[in-house]
Amino acid sequence: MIGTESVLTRIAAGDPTAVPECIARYGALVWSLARRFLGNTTDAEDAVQDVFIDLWKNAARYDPARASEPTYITMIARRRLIDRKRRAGRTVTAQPLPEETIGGGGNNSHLEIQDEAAKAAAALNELREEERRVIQMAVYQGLTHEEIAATTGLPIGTVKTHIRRGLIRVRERLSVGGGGR
Amino acid sequence: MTTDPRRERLDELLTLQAIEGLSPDEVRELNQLLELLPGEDKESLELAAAALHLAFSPPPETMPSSVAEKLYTAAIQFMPRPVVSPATLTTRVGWLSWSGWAVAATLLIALLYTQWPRPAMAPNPPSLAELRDQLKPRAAEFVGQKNQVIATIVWSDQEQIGYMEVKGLPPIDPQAGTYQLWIVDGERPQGSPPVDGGVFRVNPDGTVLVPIRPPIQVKKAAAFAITRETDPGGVVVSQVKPEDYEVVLTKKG
Repeated sequence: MIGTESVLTRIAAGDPTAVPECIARYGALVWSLARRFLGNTTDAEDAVQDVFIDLWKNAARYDPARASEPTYITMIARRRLIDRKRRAGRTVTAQPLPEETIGGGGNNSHLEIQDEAAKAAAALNELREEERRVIQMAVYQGLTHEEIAATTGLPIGTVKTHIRRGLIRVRERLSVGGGGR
Repeated sequence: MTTDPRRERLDELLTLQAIEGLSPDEVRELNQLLELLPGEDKESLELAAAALHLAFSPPPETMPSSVAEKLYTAAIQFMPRPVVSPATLTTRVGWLSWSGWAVAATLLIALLYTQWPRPAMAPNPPSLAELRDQLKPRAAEFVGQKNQVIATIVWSDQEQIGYMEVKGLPPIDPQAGTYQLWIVDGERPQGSPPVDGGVFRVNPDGTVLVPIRPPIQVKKAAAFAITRETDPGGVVVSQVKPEDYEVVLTKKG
């Protein structure tokens, strides 16, 4: 039965029913991440499998006190996807943004995901529009510093500063609000 | 803001790690800085980027059934095989009811060491049809027929798992659209949209057998419906009118 208990913790504890439940809970999330990062469906299919196997093998590394499960899984997925792109020697292909921007995940089914999105969006709302735009291009669209500088006309140093400041602000907000569950 | 140049460089590397990844040289530099500056969380900015990614993302799109199927197969291979004693050698053990990994792994190692017969150690992973048949005693059955289309679903509210078998559904060009399954949850308020049960394609002969694992909990499945959606990736809410559903499945008996 799908519940709110961490499936990674249960996998680490040896509960075999948690493995399929992990797919049921987070399959759509990881699939969407892979599609956004890699663009093509074949690569995304392979990547999704890599991500889940990595999650299952290293389930014991998840610490609920540090981050909520959706955020942790998104982090692992992003890491694997970034590695995959680096190995392939490709840069991330910018994709058109959907209509939704900040808070666009508000329709997500999982309350946990909504909660994470809300905390991060609140931190972003404390930044200037230019900073928010740069962070969105870096984190969500996956553009490099150079690509963002070329798109926005901002100096590279400013782009780097905006991204760093933004991430640090979110880190502070998550740590104040309690990243864990 | 920090003024220690080492700390600034650390944040710079952590940012790069979170956004673009690091080169081997940068990884070494990061590790050296983390040793010099104890107490820093190596993953803190990666977690921040992940939270931001969730904030920017629209609702996740449903994973295609073909991808889900591969993933469940990988899950079966990842999990230890059930270990049976010689006395129950012919008994199939449901993979969802396996005992803990540690016990299984220990017994498996012991069996390998003593070279017990291979069939006892590694039976083939069960097929979808076998998994469905194993679920049947614990599940409800839904059936539907419309014109030449015949569909059956075995679904367990308790386990949130089901299997759908369809016959007579004409294949469609993947570029032109997809079939999508919907689950009507009887516990949801009147007028609530049905739950997305996933998109799927049919074999050239119009048949398909796929697992059902909805992204959100279905408290009490009351009915299922199959629609033909023009978006190849499926949709969040179907615009297809009920009279145009490919088939509706209701509880048997």
